Amino acid sequence: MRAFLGILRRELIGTFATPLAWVALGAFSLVTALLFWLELLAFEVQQQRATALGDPAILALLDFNDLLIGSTLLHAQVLLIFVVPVLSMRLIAEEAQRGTLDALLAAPVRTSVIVSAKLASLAVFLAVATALLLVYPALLALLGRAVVEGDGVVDWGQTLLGLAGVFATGLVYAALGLAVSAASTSPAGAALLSALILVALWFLGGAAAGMTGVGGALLAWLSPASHLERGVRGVLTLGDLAYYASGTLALTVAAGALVDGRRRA
Amino acid sequence: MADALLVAEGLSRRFADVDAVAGVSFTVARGEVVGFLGHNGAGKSTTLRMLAGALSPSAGRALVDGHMAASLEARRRVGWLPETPPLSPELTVDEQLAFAASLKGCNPAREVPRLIERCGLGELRRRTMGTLSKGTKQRVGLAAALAGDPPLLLLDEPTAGLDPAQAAFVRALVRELAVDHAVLLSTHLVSEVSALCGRALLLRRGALVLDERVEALKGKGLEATVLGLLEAA
Repeated sequence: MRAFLGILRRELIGTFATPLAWVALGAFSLVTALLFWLELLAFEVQQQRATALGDPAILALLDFNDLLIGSTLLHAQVLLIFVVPVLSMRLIAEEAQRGTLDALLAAPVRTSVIVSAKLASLAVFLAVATALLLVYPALLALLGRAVVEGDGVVDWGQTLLGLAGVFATGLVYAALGLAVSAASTSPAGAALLSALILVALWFLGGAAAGMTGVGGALLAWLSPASHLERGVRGVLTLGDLAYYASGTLALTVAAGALVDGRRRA
Repeated sequence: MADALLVAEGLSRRFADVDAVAGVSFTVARGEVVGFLGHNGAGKSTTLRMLAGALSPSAGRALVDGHMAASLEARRRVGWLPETPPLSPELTVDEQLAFAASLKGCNPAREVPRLIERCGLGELRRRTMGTLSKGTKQRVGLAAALAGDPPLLLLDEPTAGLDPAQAAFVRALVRELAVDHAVLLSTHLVSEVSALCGRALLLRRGALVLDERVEALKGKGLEATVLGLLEAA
């Protein structure tokens, strides 16, 4: 436990003592805020049209959670495709490049402890990034007005499930970034490769939509988008939980095997 | 050797088609400082990496206190100072040593003051690694290697790049440690081997070509013998 905490502490200092994490968080927040504002403008236009039509069925469809918060969380998730690799690249590849990985390999610490502590440091970053997203539902709860009289503005259960989905998907991304970093000799190469794989995974959902049968179902399951889309609608299935848990675990184990492999390289 | 803390048997390492280390065998006992000589690229650092457990041998084996070098038990018993100390530029001296202590399973609150005291780093505790001179980084690296008080120390050119005062400090520390530790000291300096070591090993193109007591070598002319072996075809 001491080694785990020691590595986690060093990783957190390495992440937050340099501008990298702050720039990443700042860019993430700025772009998310911009996208939320654009979604809000579009929502207002839809709201005005629906009010002009006066159709209660259309008005009922104008839901803050589905149209505003859900869309913002899905956008945030896409941003993490680019933010997470920038941070995960340094976990192993940069450590190897600056010669500090040997010290970890020579320490009396299991590789599983090394990789899980490194993943935990990214989990802390993701928790901060996810917590920053709370500002949008909080603003809506404070300043928004329900379209249909008597409805709550923000469904907090659905919102928190969506945020948990963003965090869990980000963790899968982080585990993938960790594994790629463990396989790479160059941190920049690791970041690029991780982002490319994540973009490809993201598009799997779109590809799956045009397919039927087992292949389509498998592609849809592999795509993080399909799981998060359910999450932001307030739906959580056993399949989603299995995706997040098995994805994170399998990729972390792979990262551990790749780090061990460096002893033989 | 019955009381050997470190035993290397036919230790070999191949990178692509190059034999970096080829069938090296030797022992180091507790209370012994062994000098490890050789040109750049002779295989000294690769041998130390294998002994520290950071690199797997292609053939042969190394035992630390009876445990295979890569095992957790062996790694617990080894303090390793690589040629370039593995320090994180953003950490302070205190944080770096706390990290080293935690890796050895020690309580940093107790271990860091001991390491600071032992390596004379008191004035520099709050300085970050990135702001330290090469010599001071070397001393921090040495302090990190001493975390957990491991019985076997693998020191890869610990005085390289140090000013005379710092080099003298490190040599005095090695002498002090030699009382109850086994020390394998990689160096380019024959004078350092003469001053500190009881035995000398010489590696040439990955092969061990000398394993002899320093006193015996002094009788034959230490520097001439070493240079002769290094230059031999």
